[in-house]
Amino acid sequence: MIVLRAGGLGRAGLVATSTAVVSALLLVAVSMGRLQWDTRSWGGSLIAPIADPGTRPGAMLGVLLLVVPLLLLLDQAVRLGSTARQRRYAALAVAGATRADLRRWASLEVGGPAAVGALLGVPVWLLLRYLLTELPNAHGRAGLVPTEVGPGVWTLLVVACVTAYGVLVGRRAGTAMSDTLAEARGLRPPPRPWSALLLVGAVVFLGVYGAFYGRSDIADLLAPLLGVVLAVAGIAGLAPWAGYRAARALSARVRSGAGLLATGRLSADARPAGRAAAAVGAVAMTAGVIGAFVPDARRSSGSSWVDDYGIPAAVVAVCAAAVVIVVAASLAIHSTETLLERRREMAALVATGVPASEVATAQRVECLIATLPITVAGALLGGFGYGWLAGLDAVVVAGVVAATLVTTVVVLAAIWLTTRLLRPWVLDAVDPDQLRTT
Amino acid sequence: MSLGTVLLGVLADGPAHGYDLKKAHDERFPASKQLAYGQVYATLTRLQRDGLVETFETTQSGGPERTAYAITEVGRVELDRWLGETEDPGPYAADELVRKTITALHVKSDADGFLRRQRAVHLEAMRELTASRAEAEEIGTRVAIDHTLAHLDADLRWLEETRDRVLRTEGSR
Amino acid sequence: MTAATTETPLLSARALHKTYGSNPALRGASLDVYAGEAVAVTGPSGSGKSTLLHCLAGVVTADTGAITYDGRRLDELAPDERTRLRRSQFGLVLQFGQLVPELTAAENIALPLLLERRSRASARAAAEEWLGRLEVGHLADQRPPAMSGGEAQRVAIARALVTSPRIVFADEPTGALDTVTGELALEVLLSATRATGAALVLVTHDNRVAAAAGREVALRDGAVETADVAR
Repeated sequence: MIVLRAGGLGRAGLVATSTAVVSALLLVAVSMGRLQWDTRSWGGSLIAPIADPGTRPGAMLGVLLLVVPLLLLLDQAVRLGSTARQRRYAALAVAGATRADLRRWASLEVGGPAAVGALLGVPVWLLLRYLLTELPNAHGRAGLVPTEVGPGVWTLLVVACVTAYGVLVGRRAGTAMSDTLAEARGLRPPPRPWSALLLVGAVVFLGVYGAFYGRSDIADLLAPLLGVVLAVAGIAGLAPWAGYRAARALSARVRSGAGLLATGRLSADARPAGRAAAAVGAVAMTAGVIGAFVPDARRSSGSSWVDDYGIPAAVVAVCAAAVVIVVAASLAIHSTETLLERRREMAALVATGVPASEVATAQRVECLIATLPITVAGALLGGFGYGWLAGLDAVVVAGVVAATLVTTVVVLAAIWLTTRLLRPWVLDAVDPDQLRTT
Repeated sequence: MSLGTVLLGVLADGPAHGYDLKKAHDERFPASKQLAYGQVYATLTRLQRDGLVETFETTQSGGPERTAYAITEVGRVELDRWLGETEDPGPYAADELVRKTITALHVKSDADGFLRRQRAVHLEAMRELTASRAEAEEIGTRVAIDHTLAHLDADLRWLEETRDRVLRTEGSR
Repeated sequence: MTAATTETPLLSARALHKTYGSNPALRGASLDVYAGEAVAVTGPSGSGKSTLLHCLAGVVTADTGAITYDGRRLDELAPDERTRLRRSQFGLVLQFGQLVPELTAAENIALPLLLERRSRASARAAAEEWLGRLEVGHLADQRPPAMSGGEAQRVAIARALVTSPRIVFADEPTGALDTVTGELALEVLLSATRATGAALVLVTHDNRVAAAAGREVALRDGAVETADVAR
């Protein structure tokens, strides 16, 4: 169990890996961008949404959105094991290190692996290019990654940006080390549903824009995208509030120890879990849209819908599932981190007769309460939102409901899996050894 | 007044003249009041009358008569009896306690046993006071008991420290 | 170690050994606890007091030795059973850091009751009753970070007693409190345990705290040095 504390290497590995993937994805997006604005060509060997310059910005946005949960995971992973690191930094501070020193060391601690990862992004991008270019398709072979153009000189910018992000995250973690936020956590005000305004704004905007549809090609392209961005941001921003309200509503009714612990923890500090759940909400929204989109596409294109839209939809679905797993991981890691911050209290809890399994279950329940409401809401909203625009019928409704169910199950499974994997850390945190003062 | 037994404790080291006895006492118990010669001689006379000390030799070399005193067997028995008894715990300067403890250390009898017995007695006194304080309704009563408890606690902690020193010294032998 | 009483001890430990890494915390400690009594376990720091308490309370298992509670061997129980025993039969009060900061006082106290399958309503009622008894009823919906040390200790004492335990184990319960607050908290602990008929095992290095108990067991270097006879 001491392995966690030796996690210096593991943490560096995690940072490097996630920055490598982020870097590769950004390179893919940049390639698509060059295809769009530099060479302005039709991507002959690519699947329809990327090949068509009309829909390509949407695809680019999709790729960029994939990057977000990875950045979230990175931020979360940097804080894992922070109690041990906090003690080390505290000792350094006592020995004379200033806040600036601690920040610098922390930036290096994360910035170093981030730089390595950013550079590794190039071979990963090449690998993606190699693997994702010749996928079978009814029209022949099509790819996901542009091969005619590469990111070119923009690669340097991508590597620099990713490294900079790593340094920033490390620096922020270093600053957090020298403050004690744990005390303040219990007394912060609860999250508020201001993001609902964004959602409303998105609907209003799209509705108003509908009147101007057809006036300008560029506007016709950008407006829906803007609407989507607003809607996604709206859902994402609501997640902390949704988690908090769910926790408060349940806390008076729970009958198990795990439930009490979970609702209590979430009521006290809904924001970090809410942020992770936000990504899940965005994904759920996408899933809902797919759920309405597939029957609609089928309805409008007839027999060739599988070829034209089926594969892209499947690709998006797989990416969505991957994102859910990554986000569930970051959520579980955050939950474990707060547990480790309270290891004395948790160990005392177990000493007074609350089983360690109850504490582990509480963690899982906490993640579920934070994510399930926003998952269902996001999927239904996205699905019925798109469905209403495209035209509702029984099949579309069925599709949306199916998509909601599937997404819920995937989220459930991802959370169950990740919390299970983190069990050893939980058991370590509640070990009676934590009670020793000498 | 156990000055007699305290002096017996000094004499247990070996016979001494009255003058040297006073000097030895004052050195051994620096926190206690310095003895007057008259006190010393009066006490020695009484001890001799009770058979606890005997005169050792009388030298007369051109100066005043100097009598050396030595502890008798009966005297040793009496000393051991005294060391075997615990001192009553009290809130005031525990002069007797200190002198008895130092004597016990010098005499090298069961110092550890003495300290443990004394601890038990002190703790029991503290127990009774704590219990009565819990029942006290007036703040004045509580405050008075607090004072006694504080002093008893101080004596108790000193006894623990002493015991710690004794064990360490014995351990390093 | 002969007992002046003729009854059998409620909790009995024999020859406990426990080593942490290369540090032998307990070297053959033995001790008896009788029903309803208050016994202080004293000794300098490093004497193994807390380790002994953890072993007696079934929080950790000793390397060797036997602990018998109410006729059953505590060290031979399965971990789940031991946890359940700790919850229902034992109470635990620590020096600090024992209440879940995200839960209110009432929720902290209700938690063990919920695990004992009591209904939410009855658990809440029991919690409020105990909070009232210890004169901190107004804190029922407050969270620990908003309480003073003395208040938090009273809540912790309430939590320890809410399941009507037969033995309460307290490890330096007043260690983090100032003298007067600590004295009041100690009096509360003693009167509450006496009122419920529970035994109290009080670990402390402070003589004034030890004087609150009826008898003393002194530890040194992991073994019992002296033990008063039980009355």
